[in-house]
Amino acid sequence: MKMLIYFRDLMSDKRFSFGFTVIIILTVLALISVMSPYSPVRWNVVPEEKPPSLKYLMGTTSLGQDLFWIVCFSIKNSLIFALTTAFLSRVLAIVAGMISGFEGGIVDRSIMILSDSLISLPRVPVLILVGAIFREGLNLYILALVMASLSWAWDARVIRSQILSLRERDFTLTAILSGSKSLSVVFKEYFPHILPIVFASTLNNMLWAIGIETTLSILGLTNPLIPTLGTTLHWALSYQALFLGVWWWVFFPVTVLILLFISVYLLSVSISEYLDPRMRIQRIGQAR
Amino acid sequence: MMSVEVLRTENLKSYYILDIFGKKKVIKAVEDVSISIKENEIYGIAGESGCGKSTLLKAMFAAVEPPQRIIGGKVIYRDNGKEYDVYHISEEERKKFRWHFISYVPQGSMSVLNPVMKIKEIFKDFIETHTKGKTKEEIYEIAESHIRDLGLPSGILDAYPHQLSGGMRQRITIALATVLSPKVVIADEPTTALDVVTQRGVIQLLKDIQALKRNTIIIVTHDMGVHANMADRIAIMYAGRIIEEASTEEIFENPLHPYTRYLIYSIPKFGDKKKRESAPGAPPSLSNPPSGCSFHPRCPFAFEKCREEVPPLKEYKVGHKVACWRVEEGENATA
Amino acid sequence: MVKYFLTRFLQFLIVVFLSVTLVFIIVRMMPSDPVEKTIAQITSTGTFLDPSDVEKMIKSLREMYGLEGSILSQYFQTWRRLITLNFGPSLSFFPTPVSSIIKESVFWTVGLLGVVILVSWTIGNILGVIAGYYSKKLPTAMKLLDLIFMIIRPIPYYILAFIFLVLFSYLIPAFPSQGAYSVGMMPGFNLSFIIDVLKHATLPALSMILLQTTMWFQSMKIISTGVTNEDFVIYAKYGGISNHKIIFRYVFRNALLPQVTSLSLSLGRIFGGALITEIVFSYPGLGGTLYSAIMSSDYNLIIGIVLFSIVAVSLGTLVLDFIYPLFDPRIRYS
Repeated sequence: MKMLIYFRDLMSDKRFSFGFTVIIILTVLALISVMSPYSPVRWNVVPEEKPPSLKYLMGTTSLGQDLFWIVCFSIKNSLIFALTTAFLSRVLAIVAGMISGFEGGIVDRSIMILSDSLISLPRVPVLILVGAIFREGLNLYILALVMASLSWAWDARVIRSQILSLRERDFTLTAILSGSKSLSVVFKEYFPHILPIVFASTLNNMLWAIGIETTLSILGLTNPLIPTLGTTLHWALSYQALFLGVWWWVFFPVTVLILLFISVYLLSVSISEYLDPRMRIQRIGQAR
Repeated sequence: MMSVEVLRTENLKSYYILDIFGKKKVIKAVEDVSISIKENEIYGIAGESGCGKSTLLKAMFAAVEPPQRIIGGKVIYRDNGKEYDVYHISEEERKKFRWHFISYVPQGSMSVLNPVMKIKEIFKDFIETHTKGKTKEEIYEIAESHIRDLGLPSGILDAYPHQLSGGMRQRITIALATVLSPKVVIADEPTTALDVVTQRGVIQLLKDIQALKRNTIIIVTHDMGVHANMADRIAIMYAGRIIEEASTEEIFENPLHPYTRYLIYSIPKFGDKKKRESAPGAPPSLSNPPSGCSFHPRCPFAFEKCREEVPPLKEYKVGHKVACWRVEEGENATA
Repeated sequence: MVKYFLTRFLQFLIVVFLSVTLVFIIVRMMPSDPVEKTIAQITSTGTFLDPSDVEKMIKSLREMYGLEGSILSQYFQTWRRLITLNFGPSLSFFPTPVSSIIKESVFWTVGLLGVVILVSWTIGNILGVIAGYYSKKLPTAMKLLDLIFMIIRPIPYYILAFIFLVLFSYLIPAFPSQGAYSVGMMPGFNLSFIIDVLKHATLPALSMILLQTTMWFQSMKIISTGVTNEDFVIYAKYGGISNHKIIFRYVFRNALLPQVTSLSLSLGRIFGGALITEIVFSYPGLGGTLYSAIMSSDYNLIIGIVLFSIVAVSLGTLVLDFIYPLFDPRIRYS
């Protein structure tokens, strides 16, 4: 019921409703990929290089694939990849942030040193190195794990400081005095405060994950047989699609990518504004 | 003593109009306020937090920013024998009154000094805006002599705000507001968040300025002790309305409104161990005020009429106004 | 003050230590043997090699890659290479040492990055402070700008650079598509060469400037919206001080401090963006060179560039953090 009210509030923000609609459409495309008549890894299943038509909505590629279905598979894989990365990274962030906040002392300090280092570490060279070392061996799950372990640091910090400030408040003491076990305190009392922080940053992490995956894939540094929006572009570029006039092979994946980025970003902007009470007051001041 | 009026409000109404995710909310912070403030007096406005005091001040200072709005009524400034209806002149003209005619010491004024500028640069920005064709040296000279007049160390002009104590920052802010000798100084809770000793210093500073410049000070605070110490006349505000107004002596000796009594009896007295009695219940919501007299839900003397009709602010004695049906009834009974 | 510098320096050392170790571990996890790969590469070109020569070559290659000895000594070897800046010879440009290739590429990257950061930070912050100050009633032009920026902001460097490449190099052939200067042009300090260099740098620089301007604009807008609601700004408005003065002396100067911190925090990301943009435009900076090294499996060069990048970025961040107190009187005088 409460969720419904939040959702209705958010939908009154044009940015949110646009992002949400686009994401729903993309998710539907990802879901219908199971209905694809062709396997995404098989070549020469349809005539080559046909421009978009009613039969082939997004045309066909030089490899003899129906681009529409490839794009559906790609959206599914890109979304799964982004969610996996974000999930792993949030788990790491919550664990690290909570341990840091509760344990304090030397444990806290080492985790904070580690996260400081990760925050200022230039991640792109490291990820390119990972791609260059593993090449085709780099499947999406390994990449997700690597990316998650590079991106938890900032949230861990935020969670830690949130816990430190919550610990100052009364309810922890009351809960401990009333004899409840510390773990259940953690889940009952702290999670409601931590989840909103985590939720807003999840979307940003997903954006980053799709961006990096696409980049590495276009460069040919991931397994090119897994259809993602990046690997699709990789094939298109290595087959000189633009020179040969097969523009749709580049146009549709790029358009879908941009729509995906913009919509996830708009969702994240509007949700984090909604969660930040100061920004909400701003909105109140602005409305009218 | 008949003295000249310097500022008055006529049936002033100022609301906050909010739009929270499509739901409109109106907060009636100032409702039908008519007060007249004289030259060379210290006028106190008292009331609990959230009664509309600060909103009234902003409306009088003509610094209304959304979501606050002026819904009705007038604010009149009287400068050099001429009257100006401040909401019927342009923003540019309104700005000309600031600092020369009317000045403002805001609430929480610890943070009104730009943290990345030296005090003298801040003074320079304010003075420069309101004076024409002065060199930097002349401007610094104005600031310095003013600071010296107020008995503050002139060395602080070279400091950054964070290098000064809270009390000193508060005094600097008062100095900044009065640097061009305005006729009216509005001070919003100038002593809140200060320790007792610093409070005394700040009150003394305001009194000194008033003695020195012979101007008008409008001071708003919930602290009746400060009013007792400073004000010549006091207005009591409740739920956006003025409910009683009289000279300080009269208010403290002969309070007519039940709410005023609660306010006065809530001042702790030295050596008095009796528990202070404050008004029962909570202040009313300004977005949904009670019908009739807005104090009736908390008033021990409320009767039928109080729930139905808003009592008018009426003068019962010379210089003593009150808005209360019980007083009205009593008056009628004796008459 | 001294404590601030010391902590910051210590942190720098820890970052470098951890990331060098990380790079070492990643490289050790390589599924295929780089030496065998290199030998295969050489023989695949059709060159016939004597088995004993192959044996010798394997040994020297192993030495060159720092694969001789125990894991620990290999690890120390990595450090020795980094400290002496001697990463061995590059394979694709044999026998040119990796360090001199890096030296050449660094010039282009630093030039590009310097211009991009300076321009985008300035434009983004100035537009951002205006948008933040007037956020309650934003002028239409600003609203439009805000919307456009909001759409461009999330696009990754590669995609935006690619779109620029397609639009302004293929569809409208206004700018060259690759390199830092035309083939056959003799590098020298003369007008035609400088114009040529600027022409080549335009697209990479523009695509990066556009993205980063949106980033600075939006964070500045949020920060200065907050500062605009601070008491000292409201008071300055009460005092009738001109908007122009309030924006630049009150809002801008206060909002700038978090933006300096933010510059130092995002230096790594900006650098990553530069690497990727250079790859798209085959720009001969660190990014372009890194990509061609990957394409030719030149592991010495890859590792050299990655290690160098990490240290260089951390050093840049350190320098920014060291000059930060100059901007903030609250730190300067404490």
